Amino acid sequence: MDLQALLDNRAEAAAIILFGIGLTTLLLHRNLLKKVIGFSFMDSAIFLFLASEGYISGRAAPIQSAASDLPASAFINPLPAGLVLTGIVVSVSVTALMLSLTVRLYERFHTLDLDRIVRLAREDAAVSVGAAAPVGKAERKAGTNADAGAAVSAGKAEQKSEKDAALPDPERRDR
Amino acid sequence: MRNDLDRDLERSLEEPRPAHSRLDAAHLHRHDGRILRQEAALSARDEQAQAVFTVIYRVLAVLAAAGIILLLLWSVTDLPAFGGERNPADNEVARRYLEDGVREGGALNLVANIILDYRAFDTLGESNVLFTAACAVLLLLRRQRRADLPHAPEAIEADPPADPVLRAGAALLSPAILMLGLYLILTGHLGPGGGFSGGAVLSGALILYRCAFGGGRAGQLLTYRVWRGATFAALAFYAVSKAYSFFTGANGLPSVFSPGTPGSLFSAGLIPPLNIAVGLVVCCIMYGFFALFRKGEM
Repeated sequence: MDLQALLDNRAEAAAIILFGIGLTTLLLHRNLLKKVIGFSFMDSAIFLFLASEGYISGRAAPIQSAASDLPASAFINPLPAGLVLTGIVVSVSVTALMLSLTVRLYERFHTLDLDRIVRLAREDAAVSVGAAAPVGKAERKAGTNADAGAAVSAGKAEQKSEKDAALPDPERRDR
Repeated sequence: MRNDLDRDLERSLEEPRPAHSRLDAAHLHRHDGRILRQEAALSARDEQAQAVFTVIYRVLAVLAAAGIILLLLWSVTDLPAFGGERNPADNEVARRYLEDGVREGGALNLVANIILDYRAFDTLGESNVLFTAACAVLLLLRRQRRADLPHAPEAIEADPPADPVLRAGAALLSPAILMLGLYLILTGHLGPGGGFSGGAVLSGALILYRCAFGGGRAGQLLTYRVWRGATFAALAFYAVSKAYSFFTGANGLPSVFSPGTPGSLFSAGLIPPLNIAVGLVVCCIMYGFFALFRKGEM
């Protein structure tokens, strides 16, 4: 890889590295809030990239002065500024939507861990299917949770007690 | 970065995944006989499979991310030099906006010309994206609607009394920030500023005021009805006025909006009113996001 070329394009290279940080955060973290942060990183990286594409050394921001009519060669490219403005608004909207969905998921499952949410949602689905049967899985499920607490107090896997106590009671969830 | 990831990987290898399925299995084993023992064996195998999957996933994720970064960095080396005068991005489209923008649009701020005149339809869509997101957040987070659900979130207690420093600072600062926001919106066609930045500054002042003096007093200023009305009126005004200007402009008809004298406050045709409309939408929606996330109501 040509390092000199990377140095010449340092703004774009920085944008790519920022994008990579966001992508890695998105892939490796199970916490939903951290995923949202990773997403915002990727947004910002794209904006930095676009803005640096429009920059021209030694030229001014594209605002014409009333007194003197400056030529077009006095200004940087105004188009990326307009595009980035659009992008920022959309990224704000998407972030707000993701955060509000996260709030609702937390209210329902009392955790932000995506794996745990998926598991709990699957159990919920299984319970609602089994509830039709005479000896529904729902009862067994409720008993399981209560007994899990008993097993914990008996001394098994004490470190997990807090995590499991945080699990919501399936009966409390609305369907 | 690499080291951190490696350490993460090692940690995930060392500690077994927290799984309450094992507790379930233990209990079921005591409870019933053969079937449940099978289930326990199954869940143990599940757990092992999941741990292996996690490791494989993490390794693959790191490899994929590193691969994408290296590929993109490699393509960055082929880009034209940063800030060069003859870069292909600086083509005839940008030159046209720079040369004829002031004559055709009337605003000295050439970016305002682009987003509110040449590409105004795009900006209308953008405002609608913001509005749609606000509607979705309202549906998801509004407490009133969820009050009759079986597990409505516990009522959030009243705002704690704010710090005296915060109160004094907000009393001093929020009028000044409001003025700055209004200035940015009203002179968006003459200099840096415009509806988006000015609206964001305005909403910042409102949020500061609300943090310091509580939702009650801010709520008197901006109730849900006012919020809804202002947002809707601004969007409707934008859509109607822009529809008119597209119709007249595209068909070469005489229009009541003229570019005027570039540089004076009342110039640039539709751009200042559209800036006000966009500023109103952005301010209302940013403040609405804050209020909904904070308390679940306006």
